[in-house]
Amino acid sequence: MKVPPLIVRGALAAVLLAIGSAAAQTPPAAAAAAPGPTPAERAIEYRQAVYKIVAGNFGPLSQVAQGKAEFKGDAATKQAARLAQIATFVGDAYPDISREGKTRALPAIWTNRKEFDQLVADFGTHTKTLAEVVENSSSAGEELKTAVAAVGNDCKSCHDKFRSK
Amino acid sequence: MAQGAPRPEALIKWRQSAYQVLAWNSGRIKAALAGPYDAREVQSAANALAGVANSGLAGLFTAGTAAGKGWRATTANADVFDDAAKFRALNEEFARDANELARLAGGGNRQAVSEQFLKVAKACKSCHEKFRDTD
Repeated sequence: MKVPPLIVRGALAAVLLAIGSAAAQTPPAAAAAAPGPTPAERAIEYRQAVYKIVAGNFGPLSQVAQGKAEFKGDAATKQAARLAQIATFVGDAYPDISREGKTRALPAIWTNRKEFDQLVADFGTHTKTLAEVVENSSSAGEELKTAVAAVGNDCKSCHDKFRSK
Repeated sequence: MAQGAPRPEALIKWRQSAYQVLAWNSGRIKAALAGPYDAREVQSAANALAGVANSGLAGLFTAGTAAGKGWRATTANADVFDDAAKFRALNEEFARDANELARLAGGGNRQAVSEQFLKVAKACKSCHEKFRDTD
C-alpha cells in the first residue's frame, strides 16, 4: 500500500509532538512511575496465583489421605490432574525480575537454582504419579496415601529450604 | 452455605488466581508471536492455558460468591449467576479453543498458532464483555 508522504510526515510529526509535550509536562521520575503494578510485582502476583491453585487442589486431596474427608473419585481425579498440570509450569514462575519484592521466596532460589529446579522436578514426577494413582483408585487406599505423602514432602522440603518462615 | 464448604473469599481468591494464570500465559504467547518465536515457550504457555481452561472454571462461581473480595474485589457481574448456562457454554468454547491451541503449539507452525491464538483471545473477550464488570 502506498501512503502519500505528506500524511506520513504529518503522522510522524503528530507522534513526535505528543512525545515532546508529554516529556515537557512530566518530570522523568513521574514518567517512570507508571500506574499499576511493576513487572516485578506482576510476576510475584502471578507466582502467588499459581501456588493458590496448587494449594486449592492439594488441600482436599490431603484431607482425603488423612481420612478427614471422603474420597470422591471425580473431584479427586480433577484435583490431581490439575496439580500434575500446574507442576509442569511452577518453575517458570521464578523469573529473575521476581527476586525482589513482597515475596517469601528466598534468594537461594536464584543462587542455588540447580537444587531448586530438582525439587520442582520431583514435584512434577510425584504429582504425575498421584494423578495416575487417583484415577485408578476407588477409595483412599494405601497407594493413594503414599502418593499424596510424596507430594506433600516435596512441598515441605522446598518450603523449608526456599521459603522464608 | 454448607458446612465445610470453602469460604466465599477463598473461592474468589482461587478463581482470580486461575484467571491470573490465564492472563500471564496469554501474555507469554503474545510476546512470542510478536518477537522471536520460541516454540518451547509457546508450548509451555499453551499447556498452562489449556490446563486451567479445562479445570472447571465455571465451578468456581458458586452461589454466595457474586460479591466479595479475594486478592481484590470481584469483577464478576450478576449475569454469571443469572445466566449460568450461557457462562458455562462460553467457558466450554474457550476450553476447546485452548485445547486446539495447545495441540497446534506442539506442531510449531507459527502461523497456525497465531490464528488459533486469535480465536482464544476472542473467546476471552466475548466472555469478559458479557460477564465481567470493567472499571
